[in-house]
Amino acid sequence: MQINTYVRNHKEIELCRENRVMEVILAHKDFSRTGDLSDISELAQICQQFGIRTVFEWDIIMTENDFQKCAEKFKTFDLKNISAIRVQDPGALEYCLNHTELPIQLVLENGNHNLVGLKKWRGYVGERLERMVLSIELPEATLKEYIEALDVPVEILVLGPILLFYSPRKLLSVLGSDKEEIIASGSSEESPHKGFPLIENRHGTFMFHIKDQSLMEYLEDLSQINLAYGRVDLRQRNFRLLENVARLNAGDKNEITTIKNEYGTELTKGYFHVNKTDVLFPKLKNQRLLPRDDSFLGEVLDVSNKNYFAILMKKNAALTVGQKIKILSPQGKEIFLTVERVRNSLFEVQQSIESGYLALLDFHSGVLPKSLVFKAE
Amino acid sequence: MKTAWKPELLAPAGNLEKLKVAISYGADAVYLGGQKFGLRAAADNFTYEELAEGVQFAHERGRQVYVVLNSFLHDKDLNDLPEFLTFLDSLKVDALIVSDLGVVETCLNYSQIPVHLSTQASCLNVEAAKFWKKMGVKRLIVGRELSIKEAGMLKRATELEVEMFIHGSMCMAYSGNCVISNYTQGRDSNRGGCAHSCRFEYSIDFKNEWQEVEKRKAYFMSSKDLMGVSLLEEFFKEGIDSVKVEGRMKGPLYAGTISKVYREALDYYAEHGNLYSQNILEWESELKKLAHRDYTTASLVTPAGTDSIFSEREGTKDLEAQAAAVVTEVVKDQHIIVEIKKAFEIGDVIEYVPFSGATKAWKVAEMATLGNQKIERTKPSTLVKLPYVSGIEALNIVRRKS
Ligand code: SF4
Repeated sequence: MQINTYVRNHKEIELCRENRVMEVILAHKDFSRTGDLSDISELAQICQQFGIRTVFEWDIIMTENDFQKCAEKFKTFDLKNISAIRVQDPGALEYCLNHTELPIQLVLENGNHNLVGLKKWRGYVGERLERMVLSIELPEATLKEYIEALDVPVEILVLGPILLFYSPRKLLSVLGSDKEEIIASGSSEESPHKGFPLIENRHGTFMFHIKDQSLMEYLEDLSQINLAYGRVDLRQRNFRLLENVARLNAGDKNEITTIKNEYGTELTKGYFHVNKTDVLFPKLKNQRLLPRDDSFLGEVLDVSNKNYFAILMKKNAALTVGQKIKILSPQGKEIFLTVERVRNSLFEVQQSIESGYLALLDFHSGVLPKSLVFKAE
Repeated sequence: MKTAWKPELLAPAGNLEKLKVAISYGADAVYLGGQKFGLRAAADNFTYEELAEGVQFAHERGRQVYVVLNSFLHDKDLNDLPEFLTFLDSLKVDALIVSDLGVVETCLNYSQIPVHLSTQASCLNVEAAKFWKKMGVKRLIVGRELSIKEAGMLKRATELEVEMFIHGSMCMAYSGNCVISNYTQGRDSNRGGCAHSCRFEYSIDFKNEWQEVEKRKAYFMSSKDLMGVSLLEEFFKEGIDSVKVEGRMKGPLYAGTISKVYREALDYYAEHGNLYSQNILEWESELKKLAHRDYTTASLVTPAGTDSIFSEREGTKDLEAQAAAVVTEVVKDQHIIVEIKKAFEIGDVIEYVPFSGATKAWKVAEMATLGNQKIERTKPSTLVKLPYVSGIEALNIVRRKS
């Protein structure tokens, strides 16, 4: 596995070269979400001289008006020292496929948790696809499966900030700062986590997790599953840690402690072992509404103690005297009974009640409003 | 100038009752979720049975039903999708709303139903639109960051149908680009687990120019709600195929009111070729009676600015009208039966909202249980008999005037 990273100046490129980090990402302020480079050509040229590959990052999301401005600007760049381009917005992908000949690194970190979709992306970009950048929410086993199934090198973030939120709106300047880039941190009343890093810049507002992603303990495992690139993003940290990461990647396990101690913020392995972000969903669901079958007759809307309960009959159903029914209370209690008398809302006794009308049955203890009524046989 | 063509009015249907209400009040189409695959894990959603009934109800009236499958599905979720698609095919559902490329592909492989690209995919520019066209989608539900003019550009460049949100709550993030709840609550926001972390108050620490920390408290990430009724002319001019209202989690009063107001506004413009400010004020005043955050036109004309931030705690507004009941049964000249949503009592002024035309208000003089026992005050989740009111129909909504 190789390491790649963001660089912003000559010194950082030098450090990459010393540590044999042979691919760097150039984040231009107009094209990259939190990029701050105004000019990439000089850095790209230095990298070229050192034999370091350069990747131009175009990962902002663009409305049509913004897109047109970006495309105009993009035309003015000299891309001769750029080795590849990395895109996320399908618009940027289309543009680069049609207007450049550069290899494409496709960022699919957002969603893209199924192989059917990944294979479709892969097939669409075809020969030009040099790499797929996948989500850090994929657990190791899934990542392994994807790497085996996709015949293209894969990259994930192994050390760096976790982006939680990306809005085009400027949400911090309204609080009283007039700087072009505003850096802050936020803590909500809702979450026990405190101090989410925030950045507002020309592209909008970004919120990051309080802990950075770190798979430093698992670099060897990642190599074994053939992850091609592990991305290290030290732009908000001490860049010199790149040395330690490079040594760790070369096998020196002692570096794990140094990285942890000197990193400057808490670290998490995130979803590397397991992703259970859907386990709570059944609890969010209204159990009463889990699938019903053809035997469903209607819903109890009203109960009058010792008197009656009223069922609103559903479409395509009718209730008839003599019919056996099952009533499921909101608490899950089942009541079985035979319809002995059924009345309409005028309290007239009927042989049956059709769908769309109210059916009044004699009161039965335990039947509550919102109970569901089914045929019992 | 009179126009024959008008955009489709697409309303949310959080459950069967709301579907019927929205359609009865004039929605051309509704969108709804099944028990899985959509982004509203906590919504009621539809069982197979209810889906069949809902589609039948809509089709009998010449309306459309779109089923939302807009989660970013994981492999294991995707395995169950073909069976559901076969079922939807058998119902002749009119479209599927999808955001993930793997789901698009699965839908195209296992069903004949047209695929609409969900706003979750944040399709915002012509080049992206061309990409999705190649992937087989028939309609783009463009991101809420796009202006009506820009949406028109996407339509003309691709000749795809374009659908835009015109009303309702908004995500502050680019849709599909917020995973706050994944990391703070362990719930995948892109599979329906959003915990609405953006709606809370935050304490913000800034460093000032002297590197001292300054603190501020603010609801800085919460968006005002969208209301685009005043911009209908633009939607017509740009040929936007469908105007969509957010709000599957909201009640029947909401489903009915938004369907009625936007129906009237669309029809009015199509008939007269203009909207007078007096009409707009009336429609806006009806929409303001619904529970809402402050309204904004967000990015429909120019990119949403700082005035689109809702800097208040949720639910602090008093409402002029409140959902009181939905009419369950009408026995002409005898009585009406309503299902109570919010209590009211003798002496209160209530009004029913007909499917078209003006509301009719009256003071409640008598009411009874189904068993004809006189009552002074209603209780939520019960049925109540009221004297017959001429013109009232089943599924009409009844509001209490505060
Ligand atoms: S927390 Fe807010 S911004 Fe994030 S997905 Fe939920 S509604 Fe959207």
